Formats: sequence, C-alpha cells, structure tokens
Amino acid sequence: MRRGLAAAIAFLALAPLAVFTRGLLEEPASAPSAAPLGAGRLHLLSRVIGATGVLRAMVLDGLWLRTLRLQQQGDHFEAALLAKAIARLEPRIDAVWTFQARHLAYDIPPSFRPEERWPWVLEGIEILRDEALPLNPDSIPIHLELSFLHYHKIGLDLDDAGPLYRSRLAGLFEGKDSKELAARAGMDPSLLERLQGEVGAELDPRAAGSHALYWARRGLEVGKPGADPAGAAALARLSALARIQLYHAGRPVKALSGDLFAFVPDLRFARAADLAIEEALGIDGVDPAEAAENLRLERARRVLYLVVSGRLQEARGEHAAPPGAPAFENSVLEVAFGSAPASREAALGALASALEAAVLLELAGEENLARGFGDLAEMAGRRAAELGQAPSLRDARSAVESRLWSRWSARPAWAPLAARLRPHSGDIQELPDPDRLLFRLDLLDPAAHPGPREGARQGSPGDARP
Amino acid sequence: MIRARPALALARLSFEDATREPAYAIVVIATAGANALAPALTMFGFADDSNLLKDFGVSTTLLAGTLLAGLSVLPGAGAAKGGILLTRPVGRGLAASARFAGISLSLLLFALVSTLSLLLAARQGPPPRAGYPLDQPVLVFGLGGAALALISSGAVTLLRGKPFGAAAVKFLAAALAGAVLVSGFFDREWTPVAPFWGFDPVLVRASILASLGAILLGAVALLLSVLLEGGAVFGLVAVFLAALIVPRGSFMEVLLPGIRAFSRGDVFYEAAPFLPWRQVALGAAHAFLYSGALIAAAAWLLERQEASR
Repeated sequence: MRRGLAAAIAFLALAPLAVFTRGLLEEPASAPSAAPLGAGRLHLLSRVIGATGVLRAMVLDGLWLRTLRLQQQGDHFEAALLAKAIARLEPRIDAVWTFQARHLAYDIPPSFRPEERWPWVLEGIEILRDEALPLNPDSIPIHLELSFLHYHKIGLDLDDAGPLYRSRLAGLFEGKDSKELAARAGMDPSLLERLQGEVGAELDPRAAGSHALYWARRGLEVGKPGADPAGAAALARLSALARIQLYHAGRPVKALSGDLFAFVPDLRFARAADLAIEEALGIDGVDPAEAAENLRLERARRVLYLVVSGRLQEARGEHAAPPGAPAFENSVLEVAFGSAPASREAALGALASALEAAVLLELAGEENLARGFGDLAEMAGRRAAELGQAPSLRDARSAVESRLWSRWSARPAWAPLAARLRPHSGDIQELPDPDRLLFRLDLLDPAAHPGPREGARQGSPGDARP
Repeated sequence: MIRARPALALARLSFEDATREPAYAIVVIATAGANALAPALTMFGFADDSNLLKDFGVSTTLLAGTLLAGLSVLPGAGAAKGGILLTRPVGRGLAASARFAGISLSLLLFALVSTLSLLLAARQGPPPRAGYPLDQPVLVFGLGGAALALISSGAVTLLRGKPFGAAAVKFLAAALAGAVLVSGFFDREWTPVAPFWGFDPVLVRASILASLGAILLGAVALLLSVLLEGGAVFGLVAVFLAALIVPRGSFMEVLLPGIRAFSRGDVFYEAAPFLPWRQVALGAAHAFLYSGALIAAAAWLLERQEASR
C-alpha cells in the first residue's frame, strides 16, 4: 500500500511537469499575424500519412506516376483529385503546390467550354490561398503564383474565357462589408489598409488586379527576398503590373441582368500606375525611343479614360498636342477605336458603339460613364458629319435604343429592361449594329450571356478576341 | 529504497528479451533497408528531394519505434512472456520501471541503427540529375559494412548458437557507426576532408527527437498493457493516430503524447534548417517526465491489482 502511495505521489509530481514541458516543446504557431485567416493547420490526410515515413515515399511515387498518366489521357477529374492529394502529402514543398495549381488553372481549362472553365481556375487559386499559404506563410513562390494567377489568368485575355473569369471572381466578392470581403479573400485587413494608403485608393476585391497586387505585396513583405532574389524581383514586377491593370481595367460595372461584369478604367489608380510605368521604362536596357513612344501612348490613353469617365474638361487639359500631333477629338477616336475613322461607315460604327455603351451604362446607373460615352459619341458623330451625311445624335440614340428594345422584348425576363428604353423612331439601316463595345461593355447587355438563345448577341463573353 | 541490483538485472533481462524477438530484428533491419532505399524512392520533390528524404527518414524512425514499442508489450513477447513482473520480492513500481528501462534501451539501439542508416542515406541523397555521381565512401562503408555485419552475425549464430536477429542488430549498429566515422573523412570521390563531412547535424538532432518520441510511446505502451493487456497494441495505434489528429489547444491534446513535437521533418524545408539542441533537451526532459508519470501510473495500477487479489 505504501508503494502504491509512492507511485501515486510520483505520478502527481511528474504529470504537471510533463504538461509544462510539453508547452515549451510545442512548435510555435506556424501562422504569423499576416497569414490568411484560419491558417496553419495541416490537412488531416497530411498529418496521418505524413507519419508513415518511407511508406509515404512509395505512396507519393505511385500517385505522381498515376496523375501524370491521367493527365496525358485527359482524365482531368481524377488527376485533379490526385494532384490535391499529392500536394497535401508534400505540404512543405512550395514547388509542388505551385505546380498543381498551375496545372489546375492552366492545363485543364482549355479542355472544357469557356463557361465550364472557371471552377478549375478557382480551384487553383483556393489550393494556393487556403491550403498552401497557411502551411508556407513566407513562401515567395506561392505568393508569386497566386498573384500571377489573378493578374495573368484572370486579369488578361490570353484565355478565351478571360471575361468570364473576371465576372465570376467579381461575383464572389459582391457585398458592402469590406472586412467580411477581405476575410473571404484571405486578406489581412491591416496590410490591406497600408496597401490602400500606398496606392491612394480603396482596393475593390471584385477586380483581379486587387488580388494580384495584394498577394504580390504580401509576398514581398513576409517572404525572405535574400533567399529568393529572382522570386522577389518577379513579385515586384507583378506588383507594378497589377497597379497598371487596376488603372486600365479595375472598375467593375455589373450587367443589367445576370452575373457578368465589364471592367472599365479606374482613374483612382492613375498615379500608382504612372509610377509603375515610369519605373518599368526606366529599367536599364529599355530603348529610350520605345520608352518615349510608350509614354506618348499612355498619355493618349489617359485622355480617352478621362473622356469616358465624364471628365471632358480635364481630358482637354491633359491633351498636350505637340506640333503635327492629331487634334484632340481625332486623338481620342484613334485611341478608342484603333484608328481615327477615315470613312463615313467607320465613323458611324464608332458612333453606334459609343452610343450603345452610353445607353447600357445609363441603365446600369453609371451616370458619369454614361455621360463620358455620350461625349465620345458626339465626337464620332461630328467625325461622321465631316465625312458625309450623318444622323443627328438624338436620332442615332433612338435607333440604338430601338435595336436594344427589339432584342430585349424577345425574352420575357428582359422585358422590364426593354420598358426603360425610349425608342421613338425606327431603326437607321446605315447605322452599324456593333458586336463588341469598348472595354467589353457589351457584357452589360443581358443578351451577351452564354448559350444559344433567342435574341442573344453574336459575341460570346467566352471569347476574348480583342 | 530502490534496490539497484535487481532493477538493473530486470532492465538487462527486459532489454535482451526485447532484442531477442525475431520481430525486433525484422523491424530494425527493414528500417535500415528502407533508409538505404530512400534515395532511390524519393522523387517528385522538385528541388526538395533531399529534404523530403530527411523528412521521410525522421518519421520512419518514429513510426518503426512505435511499432517496436507496441511489439515489446505483446502478451507473448519478451519480459511479459518471462513473467518477470510477477516475481517476488521485487515491487511493482520497480519492476515496471526496470521493464521500461529495458524497452527504452532496445528502442535506443533501434534508433541508433535507424539514425546512422539515415545519415548515410541522406549524404548519398537522391540524384539531382541523371548521371549524378554516387557517394562512393558511403556505398563502400555503408553497404559493405552492413553486409559484413549480417555475415558476421550469421557466423556467430552458427558458431555460438546466439539468436541471429539480436546479433545482427548489434553488429549492424557497430558497422554503421564505423561507416559514418570512416566515410566522414572522405568526400564523394575519396578526396580526404574534415571529419564528418557531408553529414547533416540537424538530421542528427531531428532523429534524436524522433527516438525520444518512440521511447515516450514505449511508456504509453507499457501503461496500456497494464490497462488493456492483450489490447495494448491496438490501444497504442489508437493513441498514435489520436495524437496526430487531435486539434491544437484541446483538452485531449494535453493528455495525449505530443508526437508532433517529436516528428520535426518540417524543419528541413526551411531555407536554413534550424533545430537547436535546446529543443532536443526539452524533448528529452518532456519524454522523461511524461514517461515517468505513465510508469508511475502503471506501477500504481499494478499495486492496486496486487492488493485486490
């Protein structure tokens, strides 16, 4: 009995000390304060199979070989599942995560129709943001890949489905509560606030450029540039490119019906983009003549952006015409439509395009933009009049509304929109019916939605031809 | 009063019984073999193949050590078979402590073989490209030493009638230690270099931590053998899995052994792997205290069982 007592006393003495040393021994929380919310936990599968030692090597080899074979055979569903399992079994190797994310976002989608591709791209983003980063919070390659996916895969039109990707991303971040939206995007509110202070404008999480900029900046902040100077330099370049992207196409405008978005220039980022462009053009090795030409083009674009944003007077002030340069209106039309309309037909095309954009924007409640496109339409109208007979602006607008009315009246769901139009006169046959609008504003038209439907536009949103 | 002589005798008996089991030798030799094969198996890690190998090796040590801890308390195995615990006049607490000491020694011998084979495998490493030169000293002394150890233990078995497994494990430990010492004086192509060239000190520390984890699980196994008898192995498997998956900060985490703190393969993926000796010392202190608490609990239970008879 005495021995039993000794054992009990020994237990009572040792157990609290064991608990105390356990606390000291436990690794520190792996997620630093800037890590995405809910971070730092290994997937259950990783924890259990991770403890199987060299057996894990054999499991991994088998999974990799099968995944590569499935990818070659085009069996993307199983391959994608296995790819995620592989990444979870090698959770600390950032190259595995980025390889699998790129496969999900880039290799698989072209096998599907444009409207079926987004889930794969989103999967690529989520695997990086929600699984890889919490486990590797200071990894420059993972930040780089995440930023690049937003900037390149979603923000640019190198994939036919680019406009759809941008719309789907914007749809994920609709809402008014900025904290809730930041949490949904896995963004740290304090870093976001600092970043917004730097660029001088609030980042809209509906724009891909906002995500690209945030993740590039976060990678630079939490990563170790000394250990990966090339990665850090790439992050710095992406940060600059994201600012430029936000300036050129960072302002979302939601379609009148449905879930598509068009993206127009956001002049709030003009200063940040200017700095990024000047920095890029100042790099050693850039041809000075090429740099000067690029700056001239950027200035011309700035004038157009001011015009379509409804800031005509500022645009006139911005337009500095050196000797021999085109006059203000010709310069604006040239930048907007690729070249200043040289024929009456081309000028009428520009007129119809600008007017339709103005009508759609007005219906979307974007008054400044609608006024800006109205100004652009006036310039196109004057150019058409210079080149021959042209309808009055009022008649042309009425004709555009008439066409939209007849298109929308074909579908009961669009009838309320049709009721908001004022088609006083009939159509004007010589006024072209534009397929595409500037900044893909044709996406605001409910008839631009995918699928062969009655009354649908010819141009599909899953077609990113410029 | 602790009576040292019977305690040491019991510990030695327990150690010899554990190492004499064929299953012990099979697990130890299989672990060394798996480590030897690891450079050929570790692929698809991009630039991290070598780190992946070290991660695999450390968790192999912990897993195989857990398996040995479970095997050592099987009802038909080693000390349990010999009925050592029930022989008077040794007290239950002393018997349990001595048995745990024997099990710990057998686990340390295993850990030595595992660590040495892993060090050699990591120095050879997965080939980063086709045609990458082999580490000749490691292959000659490591594989040659292992082969020599097996042949010698076969001879000892034939000549002296000693169990092959126990002899093979002891010879293997000696041969691999020699291989690490000697090959450390040469680089991959036999150029003389400073001692212990090419061996990763962080891997040594991580392996020691894994070994301490295995010893801690030996104490768990011993307590479970008192509580569950024949079900101790299944209990150990359940505890091992639960310790892996239990959420951080939960009450259960306090009770379960901290396996994750002893399996530190993650450090190898850092740009500059860092695992200080302080962490190893803390691991040793925790393993000692946690094991001590469990052995005390086992002794108390045994005393109660004895008193109730």
